[in-house]
Amino acid sequence: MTKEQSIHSYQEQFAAFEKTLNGESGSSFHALRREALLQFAETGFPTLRNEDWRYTNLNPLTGTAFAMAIQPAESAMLRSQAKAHALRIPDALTLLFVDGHFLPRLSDLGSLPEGLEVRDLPAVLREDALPVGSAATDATVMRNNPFTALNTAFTRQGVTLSVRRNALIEQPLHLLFFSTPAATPFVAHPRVVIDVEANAQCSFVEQYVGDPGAVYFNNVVTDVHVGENAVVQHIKIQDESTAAFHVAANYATVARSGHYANHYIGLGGALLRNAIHAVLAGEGAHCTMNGVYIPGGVQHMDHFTVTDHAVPNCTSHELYKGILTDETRGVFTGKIIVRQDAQKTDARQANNNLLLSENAQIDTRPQLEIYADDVKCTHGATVGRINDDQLFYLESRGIDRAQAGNILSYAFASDIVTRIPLASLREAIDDRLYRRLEESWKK
Amino acid sequence: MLEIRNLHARVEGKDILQGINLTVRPGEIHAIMGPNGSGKSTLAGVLAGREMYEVTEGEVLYRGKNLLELEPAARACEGVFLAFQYPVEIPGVSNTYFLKAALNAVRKYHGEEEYDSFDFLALVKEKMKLVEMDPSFLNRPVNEGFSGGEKKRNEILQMAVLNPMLSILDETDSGLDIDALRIVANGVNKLHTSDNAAVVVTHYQRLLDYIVPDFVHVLVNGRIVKSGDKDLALHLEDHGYDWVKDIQESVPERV
Ligand SMILES: Nc1ncnc2c1ncn2[C@@H]1O[C@H](COP(=O)(O)OP(=O)(O)OP(=O)(O)O)[C@@H](O)[C@H]1O
Ligand SMILES: [Mg+2]
Repeated sequence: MTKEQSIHSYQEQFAAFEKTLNGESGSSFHALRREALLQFAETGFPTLRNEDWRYTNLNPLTGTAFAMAIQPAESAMLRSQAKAHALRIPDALTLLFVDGHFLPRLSDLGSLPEGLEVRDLPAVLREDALPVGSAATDATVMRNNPFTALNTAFTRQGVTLSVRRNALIEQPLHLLFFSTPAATPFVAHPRVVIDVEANAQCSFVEQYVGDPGAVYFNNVVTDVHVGENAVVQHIKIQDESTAAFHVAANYATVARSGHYANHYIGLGGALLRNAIHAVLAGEGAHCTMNGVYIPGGVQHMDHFTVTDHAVPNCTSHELYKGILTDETRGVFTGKIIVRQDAQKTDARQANNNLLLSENAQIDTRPQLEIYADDVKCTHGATVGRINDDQLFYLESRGIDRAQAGNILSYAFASDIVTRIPLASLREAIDDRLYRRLEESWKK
Repeated sequence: MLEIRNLHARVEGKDILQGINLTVRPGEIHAIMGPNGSGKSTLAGVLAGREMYEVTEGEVLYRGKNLLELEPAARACEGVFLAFQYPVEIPGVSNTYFLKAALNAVRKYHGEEEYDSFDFLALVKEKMKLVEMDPSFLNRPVNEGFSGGEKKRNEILQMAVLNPMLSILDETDSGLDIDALRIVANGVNKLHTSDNAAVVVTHYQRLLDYIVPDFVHVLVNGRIVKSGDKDLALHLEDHGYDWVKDIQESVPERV
């Protein structure tokens, strides 16, 4: 299938999708969907000529025909099937999504803490109540991000999460996205809208899992608004099937003195693109982006992060680490924009990579666009290999080479985990990371 | 326990060991002395299995096995222990985690049950007393930010935990203050039995006041040019190496 044929098939899918909407097709949100589809068709899929996509060839994705994901039948079995793949976070409340569809009856909605509201997106859209004008639905954003436009065109499934003013939510909310094994590949366009009001604090854990070998495409958009003085911990564990496609765009806007922390753990997917666009929109806002990616086999993982310092006196810290084995390919782009007004910006960025194989490849590039003069911006990228002295030291104590390599690569990755401020989650992630690294050293 | 015959080794194409012969029996302590660059650490590294040293001639028998055929980890599991002249720092790996992984690897090798965290902690705290180390070192990353002396003590702690048959201590005394020297030497002596053996590399007679060797060997230019008892070390302390350098072309005395 060519890129044109692929675009055409999404247009046909849209026509069929529209027919299922009945009365809703007159809503203002549906008008936005139509615009988004036109925009998507006009921009088309990014090619290697597009600077932002220079290292990621989308042919495997555009060459695959995906049917639209269908609503799964809710059953207790489905829930346990999904849970089998999930991290065990003892104190978390789980929201279950299967093939992109939120399943309220299989989710822990009964025990939501006060101040937290979860709504099924179809219900919100039936009332035409989704706040249009958020970052993800901005016309310029959609022009520059065709996958976001595509998601908007098909937006129906997902949730809105609202945290009320002053609410301190201690229990992490675990958004578990499970994709079922299907005979034919399917595509889902889940949308998660998170609105955290002033002075509130909360943690969200977004996790993607699928059966090994299952072929599907998750085209995800999350839209986060961090209110004044609010603190949001947003953890994403991307543990898709290694045959899956995962393209995600995460938009965050941080108001005055707000703190947005995004922690990313990337393990799955045949082809992965994880984009984060954070705008520091109010003075004193802070943004943290930490991430670790550990592709294996022939996985391709592309991380694209943008930190936009729009106003003065904001800070941002970013640390991404990669461990690349086998014939994997990793990409890291860290764009920092400091607008003309944004004096006294303090932005730090680092990307460190560990190459465990001769055939693995990493492309890393910081991109600084600085229009203000009184700013502090640091960035650095490293690509290294396992230190032979350390390896021998461990071996000389009886630890065989495979385990020694595993211990050292784990040590390299683990400081990303230690920065997650939720102990129960750290343990669960530690466990998962260790197993993942073990796989790569066993070969 | 250890028999080294005509061992030759090179690094980066340069011949360093040029025919080492040495026999170590259970219960013995051997000291190896010699000028800087003579090949002492190279010998230790070859015995421990460091890949960068290429053995070009000779053989090493350890408890009846061909030592040079074993992977470094297997050598350690078989009871060979090297206390490094320059212990490496391993950020991100805690000392406890490291020690436990090492001990359990050795136990697993021998088909013994692995220690759980509780039993392990009890054991390691006991061993820490031997080298008078504060338990706070357990939670710190391996050797990271340790002072020179603390690193050396940590080496002996590892030795105490792993309880090896053949310990090779490469300048474990360098960088130690007088108290630490006594503590470390004390630890080594307490671990010494009639079944195990130690090879102690040092520049200073001082250490040998505490760890009394059965034999002293002088290594010059990759060969043992002189062997004797503990008095040889005293003689070296007074006269330096020049006089032995002159005899290096002669056939080394066999012990
Ligand atoms: N990796 C290497 N590359 C090149 N030369 C090396 C390497 N390692 C050791 N050598 C050389 O081998 C020789 C012996 O070194 P070795 O470390 O064994 O000496 P030593 O007797 O332990 O000295 P010291 O008393 O200073 O510790 C030295 O000339 C040293 O420069
Ligand atoms: Mg040396």
